[in-house]
Amino acid sequence: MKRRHPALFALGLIGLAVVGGLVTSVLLGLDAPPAMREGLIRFTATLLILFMLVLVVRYLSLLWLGYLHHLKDSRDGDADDRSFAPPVSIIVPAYNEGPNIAASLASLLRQDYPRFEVLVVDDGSTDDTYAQASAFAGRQGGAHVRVVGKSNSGKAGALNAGIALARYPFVLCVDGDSRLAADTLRRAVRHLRDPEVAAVAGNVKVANRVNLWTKLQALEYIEGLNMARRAQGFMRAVNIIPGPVGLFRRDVVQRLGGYDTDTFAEDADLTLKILAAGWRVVYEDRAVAWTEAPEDLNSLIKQRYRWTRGILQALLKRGSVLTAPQSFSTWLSVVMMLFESILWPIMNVVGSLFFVAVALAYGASAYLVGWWLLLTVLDVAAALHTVAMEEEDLSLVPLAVVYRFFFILLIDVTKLFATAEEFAKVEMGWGKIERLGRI
Amino acid sequence: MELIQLVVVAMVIVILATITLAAVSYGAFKVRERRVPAAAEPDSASGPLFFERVRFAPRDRAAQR
Repeated sequence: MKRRHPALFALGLIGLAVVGGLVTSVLLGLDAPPAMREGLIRFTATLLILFMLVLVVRYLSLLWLGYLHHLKDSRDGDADDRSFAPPVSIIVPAYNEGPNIAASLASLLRQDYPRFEVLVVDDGSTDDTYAQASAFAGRQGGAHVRVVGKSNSGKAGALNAGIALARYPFVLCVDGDSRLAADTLRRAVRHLRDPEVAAVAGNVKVANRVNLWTKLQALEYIEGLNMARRAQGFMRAVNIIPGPVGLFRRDVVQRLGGYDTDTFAEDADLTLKILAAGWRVVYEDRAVAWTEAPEDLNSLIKQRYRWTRGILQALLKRGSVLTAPQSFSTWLSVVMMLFESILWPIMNVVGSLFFVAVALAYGASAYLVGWWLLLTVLDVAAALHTVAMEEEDLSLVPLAVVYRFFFILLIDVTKLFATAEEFAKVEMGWGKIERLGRI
Repeated sequence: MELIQLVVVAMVIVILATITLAAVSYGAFKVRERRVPAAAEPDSASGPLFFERVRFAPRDRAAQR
């Protein structure tokens, strides 16, 4: 993607304005007249109450809708129904996935499903991905494995190639490093019995929980991403089918032109395209895919930078989903996407800085403690609820105490920079994260 | 110092340090990104590869046989 409009100067100005505003408010506050001090403290209290309202509504509605989704799913009689088992093509786009591809294919071949093929599309890898995948080519138990190579054109191009070459009417798109649970395909496919449903989003989990960064991401996937996806699943309007595991009707994807190559979040873009066409997109909690998360801060920032800009590109491209939605639930789901990608990060960073400034300048530290307490209580409650619901590792819950003020704040600052760069149309590249092959 | 004051001091330090860490890491990411030599452009100049037409690299033809 070519975007030649360097705006690092503008970014510097934004940073300077934030820091300057903070320093000025502290300096002014030290010498402020009592009336001004009182007015500002009243304003701070109002702001805190407003933030509280927004946050409580956000958390409670996500938890409530997620719980309703869970109940509905538990009541579904056909959760273990094996009578609907159409043949499925599993598409594996792979670019330099050498350390992962063999283990990934082995997990795909363990699917507890009667009839499927695995189609590996090597997107012009410069490592031994093609050779490693080719070792699996041919019939493997009940599945057939095909490996094709092509010149590099990006992940979207590789997925389109796979969809075009797929033999079956349903396609399961995964990442080159995804590991699927044995029942993932079976759990996801049952939703496609409903003719209104075009796609099923799976449940992505962090596999390499080897340090604090990856453990915090594991919690984020459960408490942040999956909690929101479960709520959207109840409305049958999931707004991002995750790259590591998404099941589609092949004819719908092809009719809509497949994955577009002009955004850095092809999964979000395709999902919005499907929703805009009036189809339903659901979430399956038990269609689990394990993925390798970035293990250090540099890779994490690289990943989140790309996600943020990609999602914004998709949102800006598909504005019609907001202005002329097919249904209220689709509209609401996209509003949630907008809130989570832009408003919530701004609120978190600005709120934290503002309450710090007020505490330093006016000694009104109770507001800072209130802000922290509110977020921490909500995060711990959400973590307990979602970890229990997914029968996940309880040792992740205590991390919720540092989650918001360390991990999410860090991610949100990156999101703000990425958002500013997207609006300034700064050029960007894919910045593929190096796979360590730990899972 | 009261407990509440200690909490406030700790929070101020954590928040400011985290934002600084994020800004510095982001800056480092941008610097590294500029230093990395530009990767080969995707093969888009030769036209769309799929849906209209499927192209295979020579090794795939061999593999298909």
